[in-house]
Amino acid sequence: MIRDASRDDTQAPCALECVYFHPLESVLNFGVVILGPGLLRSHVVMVWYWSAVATTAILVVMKDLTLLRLRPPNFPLVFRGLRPG
Amino acid sequence: MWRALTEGYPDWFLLAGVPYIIFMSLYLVLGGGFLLLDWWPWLHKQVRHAKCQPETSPSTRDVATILSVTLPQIMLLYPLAFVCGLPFLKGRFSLAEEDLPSWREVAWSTPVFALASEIFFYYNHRLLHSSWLYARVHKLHHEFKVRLFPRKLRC
Repeated sequence: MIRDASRDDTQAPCALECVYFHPLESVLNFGVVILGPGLLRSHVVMVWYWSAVATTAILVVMKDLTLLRLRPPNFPLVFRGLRPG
Repeated sequence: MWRALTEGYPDWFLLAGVPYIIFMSLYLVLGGGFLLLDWWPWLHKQVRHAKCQPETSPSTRDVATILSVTLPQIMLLYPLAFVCGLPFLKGRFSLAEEDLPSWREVAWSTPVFALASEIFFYYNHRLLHSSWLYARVHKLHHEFKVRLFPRKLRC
């Protein structure tokens, strides 16, 4: 059996948590949006475009939504043998 | 058209103000709207099949804790960071109409941006998990414990 020590103190996924960071980490994470357009010396509309895409993507991921049904449907069955009892 | 749309707006607003507004609007409207997927029973029923953890929903206390950290940063730190980064933004990004990207340029730039974001995120995150930085910086992020795996995987 695999022990899950954090089972009792986990919270539910919340999209707003996507920028729950220390201030320094918040500033560092600007690079996630700026690096690509900066490397290509893009037009500013590409920064707007990528800001919208990156923000939407992280909000969707942090909200535990499985878009396009990407989760394998038999995933729990694969791990069935690991369940206790 | 570009000139007509941006006429009257200063460069700093186009370079830093618009991305800030885009982020803040999406964070508050989309991020806040996602709470309805959990808190409005009818809506929750409609999207239940698309959630990894259909049985869980964030409490108002969780949301208050998150916003107590994120909102002050969004309101104060982000504008300050944009102001400090303005010389970089001015030197790196074009505002000229003749540099506007074609649809083709948008199409090939998108995977390049995605790759750059992933590589940056990987090394940035790896650095944040070094013992010195984890204890001083990154620990806060992991204080909010969230499982993004299907709940059925719990053993």
